[in-house]
This record gives sequence, C-alpha cells and structure tokens, in this order.
Amino acid sequence: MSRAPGIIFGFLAIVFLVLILWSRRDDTAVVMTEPELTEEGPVDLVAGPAVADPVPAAPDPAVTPAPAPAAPDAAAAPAAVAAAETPPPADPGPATVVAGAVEAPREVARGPGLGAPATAEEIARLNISIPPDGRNLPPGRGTSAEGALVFAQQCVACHGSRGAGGDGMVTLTGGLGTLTTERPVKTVSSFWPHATTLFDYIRRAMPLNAPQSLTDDQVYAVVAYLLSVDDIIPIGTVLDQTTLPLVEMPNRDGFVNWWPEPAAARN
Amino acid sequence: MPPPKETEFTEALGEPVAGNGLLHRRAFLRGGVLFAGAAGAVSVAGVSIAANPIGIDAPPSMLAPGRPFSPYGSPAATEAAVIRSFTLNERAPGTGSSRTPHHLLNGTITPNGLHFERHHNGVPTIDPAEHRLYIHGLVDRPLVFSMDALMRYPMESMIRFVECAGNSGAAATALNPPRNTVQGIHGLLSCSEWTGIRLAVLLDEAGIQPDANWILAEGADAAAMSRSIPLEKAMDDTLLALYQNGEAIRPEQGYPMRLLVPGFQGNLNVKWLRRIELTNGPTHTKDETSKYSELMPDGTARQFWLEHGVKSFIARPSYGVNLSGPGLYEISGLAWSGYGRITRVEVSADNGASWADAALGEPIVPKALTRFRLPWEWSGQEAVVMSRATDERGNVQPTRDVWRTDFAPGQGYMYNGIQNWAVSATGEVTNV
Repeated sequence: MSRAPGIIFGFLAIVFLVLILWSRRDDTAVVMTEPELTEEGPVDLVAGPAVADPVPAAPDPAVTPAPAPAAPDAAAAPAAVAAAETPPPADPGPATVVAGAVEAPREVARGPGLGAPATAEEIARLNISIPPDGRNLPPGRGTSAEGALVFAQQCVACHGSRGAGGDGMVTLTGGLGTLTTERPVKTVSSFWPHATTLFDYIRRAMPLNAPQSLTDDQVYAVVAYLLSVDDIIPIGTVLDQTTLPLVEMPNRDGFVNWWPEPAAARN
Repeated sequence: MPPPKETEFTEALGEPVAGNGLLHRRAFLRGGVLFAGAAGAVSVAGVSIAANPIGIDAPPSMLAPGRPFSPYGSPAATEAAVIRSFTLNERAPGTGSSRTPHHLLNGTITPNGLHFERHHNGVPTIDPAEHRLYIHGLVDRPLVFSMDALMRYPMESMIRFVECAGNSGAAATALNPPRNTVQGIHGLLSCSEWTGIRLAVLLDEAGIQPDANWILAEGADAAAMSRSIPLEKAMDDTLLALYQNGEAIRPEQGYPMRLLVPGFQGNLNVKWLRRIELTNGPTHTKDETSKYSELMPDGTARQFWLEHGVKSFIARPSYGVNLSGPGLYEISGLAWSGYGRITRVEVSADNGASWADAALGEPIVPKALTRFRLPWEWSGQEAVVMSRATDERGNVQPTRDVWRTDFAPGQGYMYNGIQNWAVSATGEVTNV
C-alpha cells in the first residue's frame, strides 16, 4: 500500500510527459509544413525582400521593406488572397531562369504575377514612339507647301515666322554653324540629330494647347516645312514612312554617348 | 591653380580649425564654445504675457482652448512665406518649374507640398481606376497592370533625392553670379522617402529578351513626356514609386505612379507613367537629344550624361539669409551625389584658403540629401564661405571655373560647381 502514491505519481508523470511531447510534436508539425504551404503559391516571395543591393558597400538604413498596402479586397491577408485567387505565374521562361541562376547572382523578388496579357492591337494603338530608324512611323505623307499652311495656323504664335523665334518664343530654325562659337544657338536645324525625333515630338505633344490634334499627314507636312526653312530638304520633298528616316540632319554626328560613362571621365 | 591648403585637424574644441573662425564640428556638443555666450546673446522681446488669477505669467495660448482637429494638417500661418517659387509662363502656363525653399527648411526630407516641380505641359488629372501601365517591346509577354494589381506587389521604401538636370544652371551660365536665393539657384532639388515596386520585378514578369538594353518610359501627361533609361539601371535600383513620404504621390509628382531612378537626372523619373517599352538602343526622344544634353567646346554634345555629380551648397548663411551681428553661428547646408554616399563635406570661411570638415547628419543615405553643419565664430569682418563635398567614389565637387572649362559657353545642365557666398561687414550675404 505504501507504494501506491509512487505508482500513481509515476503514472501521472508519464501521462504528463506524453502530453508535452504530443503538443511539441504538433508545434513541430506546423513549423515543418509551412514551407510546403508557401510553395503552392508566391506567398513567401511576396513577403520577402524585393531586390538585394547588388553592391552593398554598407547597410542602407533608409531602405526598409514596406508592407504592401492592403487592397480593399485583401485587407486581412493580401498575400494569402493573392495565392488563393491567382494561379502561380506562367512558366517564367528559360531566359529569366538562366539569367537569375547563372549569369547574375542578383536576388530578384517575384511579384504575384498579376500583369494581364496586352494584345498587339492594344500596344499598336498606344505606342507613339518613333526611333531614328523610323520604325513605327504611321502611313501618311506631307510636303513643305502643305506644312507652311499648318504652321501658319497652329505653330507661328509660339515659334514666330518661319520658326525663327524671338520675343521669348522657342526658336526652331537658324543657328547653323554656331555650335562652336561664343553664342551657340541650338535649334532643330542646327542641333537636333534625327528628323524622326521632330515627327515623334510634334505628333505626341504639339500644339501645346491641343496635343495630338494634328493628323499624321499634317505632322509629316509641318516637319517637311521646318526642314525646308534651312534647306535641310529641298522644297517639294515628300516626307513619309520611307523618306523621313533618310533625312540627314546637319548635326547628326554631333553627339557623344556618355552612357556608360567613359572611363577617362571618371576621377 | 594650386589646391587649397588643408588646415591641420585639431581636437582642441573651441579652437579654430580653419581660417576666419571655423570651429571644430563637435564644438557645440562638447561645450567648447561656452565662451561665446555673452558675445552672441540674442535679445528676447515681443513675448506677449497675459494676466491670470493665479499670478503666473502665461502666453494667451495657455488661457483658452486651442482649435480642434483638422482632417489634413497645414503649416502654421506664420510660415506662409515658406512656399515654392515660380515664374508664370503666360504663353504656356503648364510649362516650366517651381522650386523648393531650401534656405527656409532644415533636415533632409522635403515636405510633399514643397517638392520642386518640372512640368512640360501641366499637371494631368488621372483617375487611378482607369489608369494602366503597359510593358511591351522586346519582352516575351507584353503586359498591362491596373492599380489594383500593382497594390498587391511587394514594396519597399528608399530615401532618395530627385534633382532636375537644369538645377543650379543659372550659377553656371550667368555672366555675373546671380543675385538670387538658394531657392532660386538650387531649388530644383528635393528629397523624399519613396515607396513602391522594384521595376525589375515587373520587367522580369514580362520576360526580358536578350537584345533589349534600354527602356523607354512615357508619361500620360499632355507632353507625353518620354525618356530612354539604360536597362541596367532599370533592373538595378529603379522603383515604380506609388507613395511619397508615406502618402500617395501627389498629382504634381506623378499621381498615381512615377519612376524613381536614383541619382539620375530628374527628367528620367517619368511621372504619370503609362508605358514602358523595352528597346535595343535608346529611342532618342526630344528630351534626350535637343534638351538635357550638354554642348562641349568643340561643338559636340554630351548625350546620356545621366548621373548627377557630387554637389553641395551652404543654405545658412546664404543670399537673403543674413547674419545679425558678430558671434557664433552654425553654418548648415546640403550635400548629395548621384554616385552614392557623401563621405566628406569641407567648409571654408576664407574664400577657399583653408578648409575644415563639417559634421555630417546621420544616417548618411546613398543618393539622398545629407545635412552638414559646422560652428562658426563670425568676427564681423567680410568673409566668403563655401562648401566642397566628396562622395564614396572619390568624386570631389569642382569649382565653377573648373566645371566651365569642360563645356561650351552658356551651358548649365548637370552643373555641380562650388557655391560661394560673400558676407559683408554688416552681415548681408550675396552670391560671388
């Protein structure tokens, strides 16, 4: 009888120990399954650091990860919602994987992959950029004679007669031969390296009070007019998709590329 | 011109460390300047004291309840002069710029309402629910993003300056030093904490093709402002910024989204961003050919000169921020570099004959404004004060004369020359 309390105590101790182990096994199980859960979606990547500083000379105290502001539909757990609603991003493609794994050790965060496909038609309707090779120039045509009329109606008030400026106006013509003098005058005629840039800029931004109001024919025409003022093209030249990129601007070779910065310029 | 003589560094606080009264940068902290108290005393007057029944002196603000809460705070009424400055272009009211009043501010972060503006045809009104960002060109998958989608991307914050390439240009081009304030000369510069999405995350999602090496960024403003940015930079620390100092970017800063291209000339930080095209080579837009390129003496122009050089100016004292009599002052100003951290700012009070190291405000953040300070015992004699900054790449701020030898007459983009201020015997400060 005298051993009964010891047996009871021992039994209780064993039960207690088992309970502790059981509860710890649960904890361990939760911890161990977490990475498996996150691998189902981009959850871990959402919470992780975005892009590591490629050359961390010293810790940057001003760069701190900021939690993504919760969208109204994802207020409680935006990452979890993103994972639930969004399938994993489509195959990122071999180029991305190879670049990340082999070429650059840069740590790149991945977003939730919420970009929607943009169609070629969609892009074509909004892409107004014209590089020097003339790619993306629209159909249409114009001559300096037609352009003189457009200029008189739309441009002369801010650029003066024949684009000569004056009275605080923006000068577009003249200035040829001045770039090495004590008073360099930078104009379209004297300074701009590419005629395509003139077309691009007028089409997207001019006239200032009604941008993108000119037809493509009018833009070709007013470019032809401006280029004829200083005889960069002969009067009567038809500018279009084919001929505009062939125009040789007087200062086409006048630019020195500074990116990346020449080593000799570094101190 | 021989390099200016360096004055021997001294730990004897309170003793001059360079000519004409410059004191050790820690002199204020360690009591080394206690002797200056009597000579520098400033009279206190104008405090309005009201009577109350308990016989304690109190200003009126303690004797009646203050005003209640407000939904969005604004500066004190007595700070009404601390505003952006601009000249209205009557022919084109939406073109031009407004400037940050650095001579009236302190610290390093620019208040959102005082961040400089540079617009090419006004501030557009954009409904974020309708706004879209397109990424296309040399990518595997052209993509379009809504604001709702972007809000679910991982974000980060970084403190960075933004400076217009034309900032301080008047100091370079004027025949005589401009009689103008720090705001008027150097005000196209501001610094904020920007929060948004690394652009690399979005470009990676679109899948960058091997022949892409530049991007074109375009705004949804009436200028459809567009600039080319090296892909290397776009994939490095470039941010699609959505927040500025904690709140949504303001309309004049690009609401609902802009690029932050740290350290690069301001024009690349395209506001109201609507389109990114990956390209082979730059697009040669108007603002990277006819503008923001710098003519050199041989008639050729430096193009795609993108990183701001190391630079600084003294804001106190400066033109219009005069001294009120001999005694102890704190010289204070800002330094920054597009190449990284500021490592040193030297100050001279004797027209460059001798220099002393200023204290740099912590933390020193790369490509952000750094505040420098140095105690100065002004004797009451004429003086010329200036600052010279050095960055972690070893770049040292040049003098105006040295800077100007690299460029054709009248050129002022990317100017980073030393700013000199002359103090007259009466304490009036002018630009020399």
